[in-house]
Amino acid sequence: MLSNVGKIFFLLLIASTIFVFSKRLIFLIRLLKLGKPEDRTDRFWERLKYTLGEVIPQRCVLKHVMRGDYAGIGHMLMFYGFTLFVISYIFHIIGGFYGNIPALFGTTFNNWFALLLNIAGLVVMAAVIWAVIRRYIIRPARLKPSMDAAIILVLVFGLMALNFAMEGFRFLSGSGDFTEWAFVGVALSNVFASMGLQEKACTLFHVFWWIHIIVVFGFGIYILYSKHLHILASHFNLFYHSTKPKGSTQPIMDMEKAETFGISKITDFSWKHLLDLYACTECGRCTDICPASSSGKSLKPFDLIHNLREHLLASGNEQPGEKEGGKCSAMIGEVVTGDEIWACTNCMACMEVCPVAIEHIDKITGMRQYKVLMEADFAQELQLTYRNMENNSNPWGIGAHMRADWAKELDVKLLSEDSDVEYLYYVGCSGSFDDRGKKTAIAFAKILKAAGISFGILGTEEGCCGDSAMRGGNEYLYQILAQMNIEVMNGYGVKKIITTCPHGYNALKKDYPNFGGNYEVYHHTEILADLITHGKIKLNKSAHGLFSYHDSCFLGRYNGIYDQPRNVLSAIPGMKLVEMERNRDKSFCCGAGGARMWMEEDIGERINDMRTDQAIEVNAEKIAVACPFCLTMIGDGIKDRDMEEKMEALDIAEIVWDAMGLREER
Amino acid sequence: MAKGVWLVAEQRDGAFRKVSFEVAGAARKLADELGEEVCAILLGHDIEGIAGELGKYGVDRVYVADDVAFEQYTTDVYSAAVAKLIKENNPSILLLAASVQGKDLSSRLVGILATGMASDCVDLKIVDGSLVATRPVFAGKCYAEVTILTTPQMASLRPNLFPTVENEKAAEVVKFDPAIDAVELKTKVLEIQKDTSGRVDLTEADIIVSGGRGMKGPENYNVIEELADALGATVGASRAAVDAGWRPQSDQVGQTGKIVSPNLYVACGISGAIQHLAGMSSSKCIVAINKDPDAPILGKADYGIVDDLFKVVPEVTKELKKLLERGE
Repeated sequence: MLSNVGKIFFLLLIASTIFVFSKRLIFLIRLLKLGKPEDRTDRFWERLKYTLGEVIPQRCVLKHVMRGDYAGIGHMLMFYGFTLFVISYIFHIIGGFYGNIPALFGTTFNNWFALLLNIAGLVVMAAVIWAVIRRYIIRPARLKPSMDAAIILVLVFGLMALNFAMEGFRFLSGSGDFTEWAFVGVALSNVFASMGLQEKACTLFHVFWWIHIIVVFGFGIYILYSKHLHILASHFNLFYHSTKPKGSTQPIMDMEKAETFGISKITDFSWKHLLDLYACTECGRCTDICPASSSGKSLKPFDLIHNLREHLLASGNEQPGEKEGGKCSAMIGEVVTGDEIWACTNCMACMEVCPVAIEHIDKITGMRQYKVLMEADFAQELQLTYRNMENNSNPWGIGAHMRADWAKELDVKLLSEDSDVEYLYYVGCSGSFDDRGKKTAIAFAKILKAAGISFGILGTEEGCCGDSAMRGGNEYLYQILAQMNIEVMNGYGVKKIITTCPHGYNALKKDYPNFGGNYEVYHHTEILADLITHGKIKLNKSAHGLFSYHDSCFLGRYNGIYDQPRNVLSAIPGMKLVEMERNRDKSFCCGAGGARMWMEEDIGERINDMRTDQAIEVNAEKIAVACPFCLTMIGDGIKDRDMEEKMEALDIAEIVWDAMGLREER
Repeated sequence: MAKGVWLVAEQRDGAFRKVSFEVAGAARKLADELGEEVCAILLGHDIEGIAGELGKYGVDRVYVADDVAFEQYTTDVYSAAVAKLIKENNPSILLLAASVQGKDLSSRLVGILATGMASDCVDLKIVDGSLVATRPVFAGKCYAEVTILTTPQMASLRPNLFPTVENEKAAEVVKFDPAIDAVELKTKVLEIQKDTSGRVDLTEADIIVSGGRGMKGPENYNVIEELADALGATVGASRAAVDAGWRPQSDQVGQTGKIVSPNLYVACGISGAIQHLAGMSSSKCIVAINKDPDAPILGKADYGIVDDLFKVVPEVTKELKKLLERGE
């Protein structure tokens, strides 16, 4: 307990801390309010459950331990240890006025709490030492040298050390309750005694008491000025996470009336996207896993978030309360460059790996929308693609009347002839027009026929799904394409759809409902797995060569379909399957998502070549894919690496067709 | 009553552009059906000497304005001069080429003359004494026949489609005063930067010889260049060849390169991935040389040679040169 003078001084200290803390907090909240409104208050309990589920068991960081990223363990130790200390700080403050609080709860509590706190202190100190070794000696590539991190590590270590010193002197001075259970404090008091500090112990206890509490308050304030803002913001960010279907995009709903489209300045983002910026822990996992970053593009997801945060704070400082104009408008081009905006393949690896639910892709899509819909400033190749989609409803501009030509000799039903079928096979542009993609479509259609599945196609009534337009920022074109498809499909009363392209799959399943298109959508690998399980198709021809399955981003990370394609392959007799180092949710993109399929890749290395190298590394001879974009990209990679004689990229439908012994000899 | 089929002739550096003769041929045909005269408008500087040449292509009378202001094409003075003459003479039909200059000039004239126009026409005919133009719509999938209800009935003609006519008669050359002093110039040509490669740009080329991955390396492109020289063709490349660094990006034909539609496209060692086909499938005649009989390009080609291009191409070049030497 403090003296009366001490109490007054302590009160002043608390008041000034609260003042500085709240001032900063109000500033940060005011900046959030500059963002556009967005309703994220639905499903309260579900959100709370998710947040607690991530935070309390530290799932947010421990999930990475499975991937060989052990930093999460250190985080967990510090998190639990520090949480305990936060409780002790409350006792500490109250204790300043009323004496030792834990002692008030009885000896048992006092003993246990002292023991726990001692253990926690040692654990946190050990974790800090580990963090220092990791950060400054081992130096993983994903961590950037940062003053913030150094200051925080010193502060945390300092707090633990001060706490122990304070306890040691308290025991030595005989003030407060003594307990043998506080073993570090006891040991230290013995050390101090042997140093002959017995007489000064009471003074030193008070000195350390004050230093300790000042550092605690300073730490609290520093949190709001550093990357450790995540200690506060990440909980809210997790709570307000997106509950939309994973990988769906937010449509522009008032296309007709809106006067501006997309994101051009920081205040165009919704408040949740601004909260993302506060929540970032600067762990760098996103950049580490990003195919664009890995291949030498200027896009680094972490830098994108970090630079946007700096920009937000700077613009907030410069013009408090002003929503428009000024520095804000220079965001695109200065804070985020065009190269960064267009390098993203929408592979979602960053969002999957982010411990605090930051939504990177939506930000990029928003900025692309601005570039395309407001400034018409985008790659020339993409302009052609969009024009082709407008004119012929496919990216290559091949006559729309030829869409069903692939099926001419297959006796596939058209819905216009007979719409009483179980499934609509939505073929998509690649299966309809690309000679390589047609092979997949033909193989799959033949498998369906062999299995006796009732299905039909839309033929020339089918249109481009619009995924590339949407992800390339041309929301207007996407909505036209989507609405036309929906009108046709609803007209036939379509209920179940199968696609052979994960991009169409994702769009039809998750984005079309926004425009009244509600269907059960299946990817062909799901159907194939099902047909095999139920014995509807027989795989009797042995597979030759070493296979490796390449996960499509839009199938895997977007839709969690990892097992079905692997199950299909494993069901083939004689199948030898090898995994590439990056597989499943860690899979490395082929480079074609997010409209990148239609753009030249002239910065850095080719992403598809890098992926092909990863397959070469495991000596794969057949790369099994489940996406026409991947098929093209990996196929090109094999050619680029001069491996055509030894390797081949095949769609799973083609592999199954082969295994059924159905592939005709040429 | 409007009378006469008129056209705007295009010249560059004192020489007519081929398309002007095609427009003259089309005008002649229409005029003969209507029993009217063909008049051409020629603007330029130091071009009086060439005006008479138009007579050989079916023009009866050439209105010439020779002025330093016409040395370089600018929308302001050209449209003012043409519009003045048209208003004075009131022709029934006015034709232009759907060239870069023609497209610019015709759209301005339509405004000044307050009349209608069919652009980028592929065929013209006279029905009941009135012009009916055929023009492609929906990216060339359909053709629309349109007529213009106001005079002059204007049309711009797609190059390389209309035949020229031979004519013995010389054209009468009439100088006219364009009265352009009062024209307020909104633009001024400062400098003209010409492509110095000497080759015709891919998108304008009549004949293109392209090489792909089958070329095996940049050192082998001389095989293709020799064939291109013999044919007077421009050299193109597939994305694979450009990616490999064998050819510059500017040579790339395809979805992410240039979209071309020459009269003759020779694809050597190109498999014909869809990304390439998207850039050249509208070529009039496609010849593919590829040793893989399953290459998709052979499915799109009018003529396919399944063999090693390093055997075939030099042989073709040799035979072509022989033919050319004999002047056949």
